[in-house]
Amino acid sequence: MIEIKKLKKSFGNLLVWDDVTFNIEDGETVAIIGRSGCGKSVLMKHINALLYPDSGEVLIDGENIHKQEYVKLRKMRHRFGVLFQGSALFDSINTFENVAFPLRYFTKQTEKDIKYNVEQALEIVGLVEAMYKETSELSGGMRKRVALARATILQPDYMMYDEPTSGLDPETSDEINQLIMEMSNSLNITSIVVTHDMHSVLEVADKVAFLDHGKLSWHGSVTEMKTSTHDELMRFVRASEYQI
Amino acid sequence: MSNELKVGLTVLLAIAAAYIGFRYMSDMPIFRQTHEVVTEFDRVDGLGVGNVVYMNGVKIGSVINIELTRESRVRVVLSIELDVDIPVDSHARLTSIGLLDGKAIVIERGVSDQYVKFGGTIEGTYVDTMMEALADRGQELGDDISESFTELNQFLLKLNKTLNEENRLSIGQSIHNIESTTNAVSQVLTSRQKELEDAISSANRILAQLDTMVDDSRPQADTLMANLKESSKDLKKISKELDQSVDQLNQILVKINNGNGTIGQLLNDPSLYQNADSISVELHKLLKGINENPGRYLRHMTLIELF
Amino acid sequence: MYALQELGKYTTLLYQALRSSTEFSTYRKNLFSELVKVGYDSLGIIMLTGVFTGAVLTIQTAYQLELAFIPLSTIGAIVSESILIELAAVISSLVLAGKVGARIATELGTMKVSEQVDALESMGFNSVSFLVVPRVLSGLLMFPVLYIVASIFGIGGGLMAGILTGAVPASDFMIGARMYFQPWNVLFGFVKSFVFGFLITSVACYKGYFASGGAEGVGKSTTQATVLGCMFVLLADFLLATLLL
Repeated sequence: MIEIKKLKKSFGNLLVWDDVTFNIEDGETVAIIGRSGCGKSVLMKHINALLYPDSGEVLIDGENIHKQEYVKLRKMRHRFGVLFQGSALFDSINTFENVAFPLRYFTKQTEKDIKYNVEQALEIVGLVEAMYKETSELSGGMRKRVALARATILQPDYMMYDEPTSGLDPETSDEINQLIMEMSNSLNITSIVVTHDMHSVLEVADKVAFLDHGKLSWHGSVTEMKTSTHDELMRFVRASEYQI
Repeated sequence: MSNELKVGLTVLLAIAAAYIGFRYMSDMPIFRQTHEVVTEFDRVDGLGVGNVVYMNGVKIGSVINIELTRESRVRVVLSIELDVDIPVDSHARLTSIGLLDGKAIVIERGVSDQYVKFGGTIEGTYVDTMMEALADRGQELGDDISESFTELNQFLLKLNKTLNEENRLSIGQSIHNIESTTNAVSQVLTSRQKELEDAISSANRILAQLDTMVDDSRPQADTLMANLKESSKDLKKISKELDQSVDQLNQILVKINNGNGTIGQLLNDPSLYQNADSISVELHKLLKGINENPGRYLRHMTLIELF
Repeated sequence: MYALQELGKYTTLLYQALRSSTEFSTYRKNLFSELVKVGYDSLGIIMLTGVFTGAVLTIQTAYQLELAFIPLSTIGAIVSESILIELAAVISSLVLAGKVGARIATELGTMKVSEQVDALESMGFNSVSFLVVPRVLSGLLMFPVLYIVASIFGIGGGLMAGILTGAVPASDFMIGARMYFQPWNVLFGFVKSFVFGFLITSVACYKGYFASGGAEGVGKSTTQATVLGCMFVLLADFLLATLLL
C-alpha cells in the first residue's frame, strides 16, 4: 500500500503542486490525470523517489521512501517497474539485452534461465520475433512493449506507466491498454497510470486522481467520477471525445 | 577480441614500453641481469641513485639504493653486470666525474681468487676530492684572491686612465719609430758587419800597441819634454838670427831689384819672381805662426820624429 | 553564485562516485568497455598527435638554433624533455578532451534526457556507479597509458623528423635526449596525465549527467564539457607547474 501525505513540490519559485494526499491500495489501478504540465509525471517520480518533495511523505507499506539510505532505497525500488514516456530503452544494446538487463545484474540466473525468462516476457508483449533486433530498428509501439517487458521482468509489486499511450495510434494504444490490464490482473500488480487519455482511464483504472491548479483537485473511483459534479473534472473529461 | 583482452594488451604494451624507454633513457641496462654488491662509506655527498659504477674506467653498473645505517654510515647498494666478477678484497672509492658533474663509484679490483657473492659487501673509502679540498680552504683563498683582484683592478683602472686616446697614439708612434730605427740600425749592421769587425779588431790592435808604446816611451817622452824646452829657447835665437838674415836679404833684394848683376837679370823673369814671392809669403806665415805658438809646431815635429 | 552551485553539484556527484566506487560488480562490465573506448580506441589519434608534435618540435627547434653555435644534441634534449614534461600530457589531453570528453558528455546527456538514467535508477541501479565511476576510472587509468604512448611516439617522431630533414643525426638526438633525461620529469608528466584524465572525464560526466532540454541541451552540455575540459587541463597544468616545480 502506498500512502501519499501532504506532498509539496516546487522547482525554484515555480510551485508544481501542494498538499497532495491520497492512498493507493494493493491490487488496484490508479490513474493520475490532469492537463499537460500539471505535474503528473513529477508526482509519479516521487513515488519511487526519483525526485524528492519539498515537504510531505510517501509511505510504501508504512516506510517513508524519501528517508531511506541509498542502499535500502534501491532495494525498495526493485518493487517498482516503470514504463517511461519515451520507453528509455538502452540504445547501446539490443532488445534481448535490454530485457535481460535487470536479470543480469539483480539475479544470479544462468544464461539459459535468462534466455527462457526473456522469451517469456517478450511473448507476453508479443515481440518474440524482435528479440535480437537493435532498439533503433523498433517502432514506437514496439519500444513501449519491449520497455514493458523489461519493467516487469523482475515481477514488481507496483507498476508505474508514464503516458503509456501517448504518440501511438488508437489500435496500438488499445494493445497497450490490454497489456496493462493483463499485467494487473494476472500478476496482481498494483498499477499507477499517468495519462491524459480518458479512453485509457476508463478502460484500465479503478480509481482516479485529478491534478489541477497546483493541487489534488479530485480523488475517487471511476464510478464516482462518472457521476461527479466537480466542474474542473467534468470539463477535463468532456474535453476528450469519449462520452460517458 | 574481448574488451578485457584489448585493455590488458594496451596496458601491458604501454608498461613494457615505458619500462624499456625509462631504462634506456636513464642509462640502465635494459634486459641484462645484474647482481648486487653492497658497500659502505662515511659519507656520500652528492651520490644519487642511478650514478655510474666504474672498474678500470669501464662502466659496469649503477647505484640502486642509498641508505643511512645505524652506525651513521651510508650503505650503498650497487647493481653490477652479471658477467663482471669482483674479488672479495676489492674496494670501492667515491669520486667525482668532473669538477661540477655528479659522483661516481670506482671499484679498485683486488687480487683474491674469491669473488663477491650476490649481496656481498666490499670496503668503501671516501676520498676528499679537489672540490672538497678547495671548499675547506675556500674562505681563506677567497679573501686572498678577492684582494688580489681588487688591486689588479685598481692598477688596470689607473693604467687605463693614463692611456687616454692621445697618449696611446703617441706611444704607438714612438714604438713604431723605435722599431724603424732599430730596423735601420740592424740593416746597417748587417751590411757593414765585415767592416765593423775589421774596424773593431784594428782598433783593438791599435789600443793594444798604444798601451805598450805608452809604457815603453815614458822615459823618452820625459827627455823629449826637456829637449823641447831647450828647443824653444833655441828657436828664439833662431828667430833673431832670421830677422837679421831678412835685413840682409832685403839689402840684397834691393840690389837685385836694381837689376845689377846676374841675379838682377834673373829676376826679370816674372815667374821666378812670383815663386819667390809666394815662398816669402808662406815663409812669413810660418814664421809668424811659430812666433805665436811655437809648441804646436814643435809637438808635431817630435811626434813625427817618434814614429 | 551560479558557479558555486555548479561546483557544489560537481563535488556532490564526485562524492557519490567515490562512495559507490566499491560496487565493482555494478560497473565491472562498463569499466572494461570504457577502458577500451578511452584507451584502446584512442591509440591511433594519440600516436598521430605524438609523432607530429615531436616532428614539428624538432624541425622548429633546429630552425631556431640554426645560427647559434650550439651542439646538435641540444635539439634532442629540448625535444625529448619538452615532450616528456609538457607536450605528451597536455596536447594529448586536449585532443582527448575533444574525443573522450565530448563522447562521454553526449552519451550521458542523451541517456539523461531520454530518461535512461531514470530507468536505471528506477530499476534499482546506482546510476552514478553504473555510468560515472567507470568513465572517470578509465580516464584515471588510461590517460597515463596514453601519456606513455604519446611520449614514445613524440620522441620517435622528433627523431624521425631529425633524420629525414637532415637537421639532427639520430645519434646526436639520442645523446642529447639521454644526457638530460630526468626521471622526475617523467613522473611529473605522469602525474599531469593522471590529473588531466580525471578532470576531462569527470567534467564530461558532470555535464552529461545533469544535461536537460532535449537534443539541444545535449549539444550544449557536450560543447561545455569540451571547452571546460580544455580550460581545466590548462589551468591544472599551470597549477601543477607552480606547485611541483
